[in-house]
Amino acid sequence: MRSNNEKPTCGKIFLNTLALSSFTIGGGYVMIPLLRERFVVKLGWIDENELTELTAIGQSSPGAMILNVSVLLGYRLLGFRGAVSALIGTALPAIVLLAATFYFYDLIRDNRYVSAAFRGMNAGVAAVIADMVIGMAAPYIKKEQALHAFIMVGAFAAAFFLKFNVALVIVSCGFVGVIIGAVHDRRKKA
Amino acid sequence: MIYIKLILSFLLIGVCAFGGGYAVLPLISQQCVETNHWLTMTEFSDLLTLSQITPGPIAINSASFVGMKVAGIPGAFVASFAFMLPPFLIVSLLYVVYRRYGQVKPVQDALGGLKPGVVGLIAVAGLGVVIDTVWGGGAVTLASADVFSAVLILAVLFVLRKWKPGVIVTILACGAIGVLRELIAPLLR
Repeated sequence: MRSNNEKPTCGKIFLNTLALSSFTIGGGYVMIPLLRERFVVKLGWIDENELTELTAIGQSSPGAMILNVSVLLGYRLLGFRGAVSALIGTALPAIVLLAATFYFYDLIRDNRYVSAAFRGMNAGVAAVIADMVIGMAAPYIKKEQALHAFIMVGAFAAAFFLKFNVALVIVSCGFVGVIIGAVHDRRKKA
Repeated sequence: MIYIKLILSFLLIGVCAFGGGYAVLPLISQQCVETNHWLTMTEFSDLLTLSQITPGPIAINSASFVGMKVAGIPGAFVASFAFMLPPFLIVSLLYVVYRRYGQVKPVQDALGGLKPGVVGLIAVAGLGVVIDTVWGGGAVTLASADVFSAVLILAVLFVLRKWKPGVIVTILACGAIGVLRELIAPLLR
């Protein structure tokens, strides 16, 4: 599918993030599969592994995760200009559409069809995120990846059951990664 | 000056917003409801409803809502950009570090640990959306589950795994199914 030889420009980064960000209802995590679909599969501007690395870095920084990931992606594609284009593209729908709904709030809040549509879309978002998690988790379900699978399950349990702060969980995951790497090296040498 | 107050408050929220999403809400409520009295508690819960039906991160939605309420549309932009500035600077710094040291062994090891961790955290977020959709924020019991939504999620997941339709098309189709259900429901009763 990576036949696209289009080069990234500020305008394209802005328009693509703007379009994707307009569909990130239900929290924003759905932006990750959207970015993957557009930038990895369709445009071929970045590979899957790199996007996952940027997601990890974005997750461990303060602020809204999807803004961070968009900014990092912008930097990766076109430096500072790309980062600013991605930031504005990602933020604009959130600001403008909220300002718009602000005026129609009373109309919207009590409308059965609007809430039915959003309930349906939320179901779609839930399925899309589940689909992505299955795809991302699969490579870790192997014997040689047991320790990393443990990190995955541990991070889930710490955030879901124990309600630990997400930033704390992510920093711990990084530490465990470094320790696993160091122990692995020592075993190799021995 | 109201703008300066807005900027200072949301810069502070941006700096402290570690963990993103719902982790930011207590901070926003403290700044906007308790400290500055920009919102009442009722308005704060309205804000949560609104951010559910508007795209984008909840923190940006909140900043826009508060800015809008206090100083109109310019306020919405000022508060949102104030919130985004500190994370933008920190992320820029991290990117420089990543570019320079990204291939160094300990950094690769750390990223190797972060990546499965992120998968776990995305699973938590996804499960949050599932619970919100099937139980609508109420108590999570078998009896109070919205069976239609639960079946819809599973059916869509099956379709996604099997035929890999586009993400946006999928979400829009689900919205249409939701409306259709609301239209048909009275006829079945």
